Amino acid sequence: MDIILTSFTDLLAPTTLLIIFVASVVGIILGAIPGLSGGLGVALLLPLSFGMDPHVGLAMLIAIWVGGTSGAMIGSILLGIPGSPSAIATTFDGYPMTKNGEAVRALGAAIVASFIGTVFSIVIAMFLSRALADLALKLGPWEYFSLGFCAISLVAALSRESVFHGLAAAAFGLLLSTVGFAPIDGYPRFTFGSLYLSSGIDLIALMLGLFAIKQVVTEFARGSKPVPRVDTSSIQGFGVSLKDFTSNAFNMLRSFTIGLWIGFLPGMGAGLSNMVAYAYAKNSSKHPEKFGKGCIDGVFASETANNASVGGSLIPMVALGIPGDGTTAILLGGLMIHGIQAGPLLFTNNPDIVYALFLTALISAVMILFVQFFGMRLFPAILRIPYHYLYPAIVVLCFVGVFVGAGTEFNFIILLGFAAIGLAMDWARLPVSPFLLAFILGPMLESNLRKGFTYTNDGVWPFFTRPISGLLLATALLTIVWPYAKAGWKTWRANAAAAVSK
Amino acid sequence: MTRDIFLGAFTILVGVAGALLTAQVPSSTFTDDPGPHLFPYFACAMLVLCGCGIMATGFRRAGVASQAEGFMSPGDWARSAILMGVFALYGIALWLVGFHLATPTMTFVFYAAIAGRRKFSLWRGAIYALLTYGALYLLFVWFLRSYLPEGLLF
Repeated sequence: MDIILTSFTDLLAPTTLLIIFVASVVGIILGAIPGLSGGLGVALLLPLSFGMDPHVGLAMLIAIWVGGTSGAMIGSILLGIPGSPSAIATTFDGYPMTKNGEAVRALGAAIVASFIGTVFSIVIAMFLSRALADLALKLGPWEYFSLGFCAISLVAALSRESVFHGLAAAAFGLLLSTVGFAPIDGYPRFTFGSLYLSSGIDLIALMLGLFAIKQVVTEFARGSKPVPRVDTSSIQGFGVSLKDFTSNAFNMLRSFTIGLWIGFLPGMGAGLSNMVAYAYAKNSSKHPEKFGKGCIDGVFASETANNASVGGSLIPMVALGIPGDGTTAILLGGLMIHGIQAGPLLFTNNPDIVYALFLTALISAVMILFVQFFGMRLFPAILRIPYHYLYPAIVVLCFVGVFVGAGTEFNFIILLGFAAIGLAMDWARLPVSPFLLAFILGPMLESNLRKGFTYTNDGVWPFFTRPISGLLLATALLTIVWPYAKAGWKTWRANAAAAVSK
Repeated sequence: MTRDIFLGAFTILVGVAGALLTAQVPSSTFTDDPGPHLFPYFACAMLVLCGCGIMATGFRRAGVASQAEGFMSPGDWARSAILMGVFALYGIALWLVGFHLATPTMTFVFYAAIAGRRKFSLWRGAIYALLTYGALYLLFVWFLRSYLPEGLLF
């Protein structure tokens, strides 16, 4: 407890607090801009931390990351363009809410959900890191594969058309994720001799093509309707009613658990948790038909889960030295550059650093809450910008952003190619979310599928016979079969009732 | 629904083509590793199965109008294609002449294309293009210290 207090006092130094504040604001801005993210901010500012005291340098990086995760929802809600993969599901209901004139309510829900997700996940990470990390070590490739497959099935089942449409979109995503060098043996696949394709398809370019460019093109082609004007002068508190919170208490608790759990599994993170939490929220809702049309439950689910992954992904990084996602991998590098070895001994050798990391995230979350509380009165001003000013800036930003991320003009082809694919998918009514989720999870699924085969001599069986893996695969199967079983049951009951009445 | 029948057929076609391409991937298996073919085959099998399912759904719903039928009019598609062409031009310009020339010029072109004749203003457009260029330059070069496209010709 003394170490926690000492770390907390150190962080309260005015210079450190100022750095955390500025870094949090920079994170929010980077998160909100399509193509950039808090993760990119961490990577770009990592060299700047070298000359700093480790506590201050790491505090700066953590604050950018937390700010970026929270800020990603701004673009999702106001423009329908997710700032980063962690806020994709926020777009599904956040943007329709904006179109319905409820931008402030959506922003308020997202801000509070982000805060709750971050704070509680950090507190849990702070006190239960070791125990949870031990649990993660007990899971093998069979469980990781089954969890990923279950997540894809859940999201695919949300397809408005049929489960086949959702699963087909997921299969397209899985196939595209295999472009480039194969895991384990490194054989090139579907590269057609191109050096640019050897490392696979760039996720940021794909995401911006599917969401940002496609949306600009669609709105331009159809002649978009103006978004209702938002009156920010009459906003009270966070613009969300107490009833919204109470009716979503269980939804938030479930989404928090999903976010924390997915966050602490190595290789997964906020990019997955927001979609899984959204899928669960819709599947278990009493009014699933309202989802996708501006239902606040979807915003609560997505934003609670993606921010809960912040604390979740710190757990394996701190306790095992295994990064939970891409950003924690960079943070791990930052720790190593400062001569700090993450892993089981970190709690013994550098407890001050461990608690400084967690406390920074907490302080940053509080600062972000205040910044966004006042900012939510200003953010909707973006909606007043005429499209002929807003869209060119977004397009230029996307092009420059995808270049900066990978340093190659080849990404322009990916950006435009996936905008065209997005249009074709809309035409064919193929849902984007299972496609994107499968593309993100593809490499992890393949790697674990192949490891699962090589670790034992039992072939495919351990995937079904290991309890957790089997349960997850059964859930996936049930999710796929359920809509047809339910329809069949209803028809059978109707026929039976008709026969009785005759 | 004709669209589903077409989509189902296309999905099956991609699945089969993907499987044929997968067969050409070189490999040498060791221990019990199934090799680099397994996962693409798994995805292709899913595509073929789902394609059949979508086609069956399409035949079952044949004649039933769907919301998708009215996704975009031929005029909308033409406007989409024109805008995509302008975006492609920006990509080519960035590649050939670099950020400093391509961005202000093409931002102005995007502005003109999206504003249309009714909302277009030469001076506003020019100032807007220069401001956007300046803001991006500050963000990426001054603040993020990033490397921007320099152009093949310069």
